[in-house]
Amino acid sequence: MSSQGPPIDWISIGLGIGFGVLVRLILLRKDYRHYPGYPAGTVGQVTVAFFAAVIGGAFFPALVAKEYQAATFLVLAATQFTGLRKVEVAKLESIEKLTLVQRGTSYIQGIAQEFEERNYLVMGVAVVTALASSIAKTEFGDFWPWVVGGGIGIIAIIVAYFVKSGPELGDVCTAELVPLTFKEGSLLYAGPVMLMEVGLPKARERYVKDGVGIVLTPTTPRGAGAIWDLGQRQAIVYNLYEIIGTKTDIGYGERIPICRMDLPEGTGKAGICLLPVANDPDRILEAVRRTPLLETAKAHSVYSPALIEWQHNHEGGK
Amino acid sequence: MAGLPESGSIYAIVTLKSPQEVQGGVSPVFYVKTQQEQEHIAMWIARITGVAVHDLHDGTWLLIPV
Repeated sequence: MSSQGPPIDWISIGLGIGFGVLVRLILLRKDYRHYPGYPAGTVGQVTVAFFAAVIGGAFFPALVAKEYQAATFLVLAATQFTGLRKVEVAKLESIEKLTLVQRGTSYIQGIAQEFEERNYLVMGVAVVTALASSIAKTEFGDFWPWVVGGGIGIIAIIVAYFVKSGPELGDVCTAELVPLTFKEGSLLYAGPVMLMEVGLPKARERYVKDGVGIVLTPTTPRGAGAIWDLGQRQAIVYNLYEIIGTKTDIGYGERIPICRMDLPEGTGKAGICLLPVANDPDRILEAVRRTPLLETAKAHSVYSPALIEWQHNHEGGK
Repeated sequence: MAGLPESGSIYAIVTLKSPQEVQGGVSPVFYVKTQQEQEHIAMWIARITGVAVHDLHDGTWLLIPV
């Protein structure tokens, strides 16, 4: 690079890249969803995070060094991360055909969006760190960039850790286990919520013998809105299928878990039926509560009768 | 499921009623004499093709793709 301005600030760039990659490694913490699971997936994520960190870390030092072309190119490179989201969507949609319980498009978009946004978090941390370090160098001298850059970098990582993911279903709804029953001969009920018609006597016996019902009651207007959303409900049953497992296969269509609203009354409660592989009540409720609240669903807020009743019981009881 | 018609269409009908009362139209009808035979046929079709069985509670069962 030609340098007409001050020399390039390698310390700031290095600190920015270092903290940027570090934040991605911290956010890569493998949780119960095990995704990305394989080392190759992890390497891919860290590599992309490194590119994001280079962009973020080099941005301000490039501006300070009057390398405007370099800075412009870095902004251009940032648009590439949108491509990552598209790849992720295409991948998850293509495997939908071979899963017994579908994730649904809302959940897929949510996952892909999170993958993309974590790279912007990496860029943000790198920009802030490099900026702090760069200012400290011009203001205070040679030793301070390490201290100030390092300090601001750690604060940025802590902030990124708290904004990394949104609320979970357990924050806006309560979940309780209820028995599955049949009324009028063949209508499957989870507690008060009618789910579906099951015609085969053998299938009804199986639901009564092994089945578990779950009733969701909203505790906030956001929760009441979220469970009316079909994509959110599909995400809940997908999470149950993924974590608990469900005794189903091709040829057992009536055994696919479903989540339906309490109709025709429309109280705003939702019911779920599940034939769990591992019948552990605590894990089943945990799987429901830890379902991410999807961005497409959490925009809605509704005051359903079940929510008003819940608020009345819990605020009146205090 | 792969290879099945769209969800919501009627895939087949298994009925205890007579051919005068229940007629096929677009979907095949299986006329049976006893409830046992009805369960047997409906379950086999369901397991082979992956459809779900629904009871109309008048002696007629519908097989619907999920």
